[in-house]
Order: sequence, then structure tokens, then C-alpha cells
Amino acid sequence: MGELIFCFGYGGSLIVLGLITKVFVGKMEKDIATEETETMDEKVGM
Amino acid sequence: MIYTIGVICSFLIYVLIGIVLSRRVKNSEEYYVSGRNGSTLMITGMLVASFLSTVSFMGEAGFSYEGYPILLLILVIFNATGYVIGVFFFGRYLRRSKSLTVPEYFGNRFQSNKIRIVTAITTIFGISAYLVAVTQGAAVLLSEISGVSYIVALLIMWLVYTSFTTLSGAKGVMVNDTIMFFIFSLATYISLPYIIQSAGGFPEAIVKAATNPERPDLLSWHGITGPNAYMGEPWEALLWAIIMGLVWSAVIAISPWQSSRYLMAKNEHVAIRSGIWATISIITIYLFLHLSISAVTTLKGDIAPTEKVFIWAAMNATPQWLGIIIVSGIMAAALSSCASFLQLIGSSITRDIMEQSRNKTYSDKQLLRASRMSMIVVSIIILLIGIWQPPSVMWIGYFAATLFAASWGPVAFASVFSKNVTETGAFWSIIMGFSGVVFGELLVTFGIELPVYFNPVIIGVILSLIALYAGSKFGEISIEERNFQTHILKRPIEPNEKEEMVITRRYPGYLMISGVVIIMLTFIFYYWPLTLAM
Repeated sequence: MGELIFCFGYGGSLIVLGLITKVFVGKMEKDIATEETETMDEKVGM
Repeated sequence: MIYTIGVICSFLIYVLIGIVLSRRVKNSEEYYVSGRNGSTLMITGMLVASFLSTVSFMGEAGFSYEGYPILLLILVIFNATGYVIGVFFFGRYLRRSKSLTVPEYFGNRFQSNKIRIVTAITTIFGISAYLVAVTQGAAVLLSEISGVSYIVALLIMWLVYTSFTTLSGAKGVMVNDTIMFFIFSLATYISLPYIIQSAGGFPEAIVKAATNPERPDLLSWHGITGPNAYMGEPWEALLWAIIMGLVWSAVIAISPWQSSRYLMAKNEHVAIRSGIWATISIITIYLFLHLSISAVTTLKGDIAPTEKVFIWAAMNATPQWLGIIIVSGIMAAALSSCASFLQLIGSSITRDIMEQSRNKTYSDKQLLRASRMSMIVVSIIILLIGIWQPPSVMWIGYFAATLFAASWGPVAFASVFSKNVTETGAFWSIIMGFSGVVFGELLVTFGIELPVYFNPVIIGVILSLIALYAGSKFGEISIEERNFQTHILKRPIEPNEKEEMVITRRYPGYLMISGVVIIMLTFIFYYWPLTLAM
């Protein structure tokens, strides 16, 4: 049983890391969008 | 003889690259961080090459051969997470600081020379111990294949890595590490089918390894356990793998020889992509390596010392051309780590200790000269220690790594995200983490047996966290510290941000696809033969 769990866990760790990375990359995209909006607002305000 | 010629040829290529690139080093930024223009391939090559060394191909291979291949792979599940955690929680912020060394980052973050010097001292001490272990492993290997004495082999190794590192600094290390990364990756991947073929073909080789009466439980998840084995009970073995895996994860995330590689990345996207490729590489290389080692146990069960197991396989279980690539690959893994370590020690001595303690700023020319001189002096000291100290490849490496996990770990993450950590807290956290590990190791040396859940690194981490919390009750956070933290928390937008983001967005998918492929490989090459053996 432990061997089977290892079998799925070893490659599965990459799948989990992939999901975590997806969240981080998504957050990076959101940050850029927010910063771009802020910059636009500042320019309009000027 | 043919193996020696192969290794000597590869040595000459590395030295030649060092000589050629030394002419392109014009200033300290090029010498320390290769002009911050590293591509994804080069940063990945450096990350993996400076991580894998004789500790992996000799020390851990020997441990696996003794009966723990799957336990070691369980450890790798946790340790490989360090690249993703490291780049997202520390590496990219470190890169934004534009520091030349990691101690410089800590010094600027806490506006403290004291912290810069103490992190530099831990860098020099910890990495020197690691450098001794790796150099010794490489010398054992060179002596084994060439027939020269251990001392002569040590001298040859020293001459090769000291020459190209001293001459070309990070520039040469970056190019050589990338070449070395290709050599040892290729060697590991190609060797598996040949070793399995020599051991009786597939799936018989794995079935034989699983049913080998000399090593019962070799391929079980916990390895060989019991009163006479290295591991007591299966749960202790698992706990050990999880603890050491998490420690190595922290080491990958924050240790100077890993995190400093991000300082050389062209931009933040390159740093993130490199971290992801490094994770995939480590998981794949370790799987192939330890499946090969399992098959070797059926070919010869009494290789001594066990650290030579992969070298024995290269010379006896693979065709000669592949044997040359494997031997050169192990030497490459050792040399790449030695070069990175020496470069980091030299940089820290010059920039973080000599400049700071004398309170003066060197010109670029003086800095380059002083760095090269300090690298030569340090490498001579390492050489002398290597001659005097008996080789113990895996355990010295593990000791050095735990030092960083305990003394730097809590401070590194707090330096980015905590608004409350003060200079006093950071300083004592580093000191107590370091002392905790040394104290724990001393207890073990004096024969006091510590339970697996009270490993010296756990003592160090607990003390470090307590000191960080209690110490941060004292002292105030200056405006400069706040400004620095605000600066590193602000993400730089690249001129071609949209194009870069399109590429980076694909990377989580690469990780998940690799995960599915690895599950399939593990199932075919490990679990299915195991069911045949039951």
C-alpha cells in the first residue's frame, strides 16, 4: 500500500506544485492589471 | 585509462572556458552575478548543477544501495518543493534587491553591517564544510578511476575548479555549470536502460532487486529497518525522510548557493521559469538514478565503500562510451558545486567582510583582485582540510545544509514578509539557529542519541524562531528598512511584460504534465515489477 501511495505521491507532488504555481502566476497577472489601472488613473487625474 | 582520458579532456574544456571568459570580465557585476543576464536555461543549469554534487551521485547513491532508494525518493518529494517555494517567497525578492551577494541583501534589508557580517561568516563556514565534502568525494572518484593516490587526485580537483572559478567568476561558473548540467543529466538518463539490461533486463532486474535475500525490503517504501539497520522502525524512517526533505526544501529555497543564482537572472520571469525547470529536473534525475542503483544491488552486493556504487556501475554495467560520460558526469556534478561554492565564499570574504570590516569601498579593479586572492587562499585551506579530514561525503554535506536551514530560514522569509522583525531579532535568530545545530551535532558526537523528531536541525529551527520572535521585541525598525522592504515587495514590470507573461503562464501546465509522466514512469518501472515480485 505504501508503495502505491509513493508511486502516486512522487509524480503527484509535481501536479500539486503546478496547481500552486498556477495560483501564484494568476496573482502576478492580477497585480499587473491593478498596477496598470492605477497608472492610468494617475495619468487621468493629472 | 580511457576513463581518465575522458575526465581529463572534460577538465581541459572547463579550464579553457574559464580562460576565454576571464577576458570578458570587465567589472565586479560581471564577476559576481555575470552581468545579471542569465537565460532560463543557464539559471536552471546553475541551480541544478550547484545542488547536485558528489553528495547526490556518491553519498546518497551509497545510502540508497545500502537499502533505502524509495525512502530517499520520499525525501526528494519534499526537497524538490524548495525551488517553487524558494523562487516565489524569497528568490524573486532577493533579485529585486539588486545585491551582489546574499549577505549584502540581509545587510541592506536590516540596514545593519552586523547582520551582513554574521550572514557572511555563516556562509563561509557552512559552504566551506560542504566544499570539503564535495571535493573529497570527487577526489575519491578520480583516484578510483585513474589509479593515482587520493592526495594527487585532490590536488588535480583543486587545480581545476580553482583555476576557472578564480579567473572568470560567475561568468565562467554559469557557462560551465550549464555544460555540466547537460553531461550529468544525460549520463543519469541513459544509464538506466543499460544498467537494467546488465541486471537481467526489464522487469526481471527490478523483480530481482525486490526479492534479493541479501537486502530484504530494499524496494519497500521504508527500506531496510530493524535493530541492526540504520533505520529503526518504518515510521521513524518516514519521519526522517519528511524532516530531512523539509530541511533540504528550506536549503534549496534560501541557501546562498541556490538563492544567489536568481541574482543572475535576466528578469523575474526567468527566475520563476528556472525554478520550475529545476524542480522537474531534480525529480526526474533522482528517479532514474535510484532505480539504477536498485538494479545494481542484484549485480554486486558488496561494493565497499558503498559511495562508489554508481562509479562501479559506470565501469562494469554499461558500455565504455557511456561509462566515460557517467564518470565525467559525476566529476562535472562535483566540479560545478565546488566552483559555485568557491565563488560564493570568495565574494563574501571580499565584499561582505573585508569591505565592511574596514569600512571602505573598493574600486572595481581592487574588488576583482581581492576576490581572486581570497578565492585562492580559501581553496588552499579547503585543500589542506581535505587532506587531513577523512572523507565522509554525505554526512558532512547534510550537516552543512542543515546549518543554513536553521540559521537563515526563519530570517529569510521574515525579511520579505514580516513588518515586525527587527535587526536584533534577525541577528539573534541567525546566531541561535546556527548554535542550535552545532549544539545538537555535538551531543550526537559525544554519543547522546537524539530521537528522530529531535534532529539537531529541529533544535536549531526552534531556537531560531524563538530568538526571532523575542529579539524583535527589542529595537526599532528604521525608515530605511521599511523603504527597502516596500521596494522589494513592488514587482518590477518588464518592458515586454505581456510577452513574458504569456510564456510564464504555460509553466504550471509543464509542471502538471511532467507530474503525470513521472507517475506513469514510476508505475511502470517500479510498482508493476514490484507486484510481480509479491
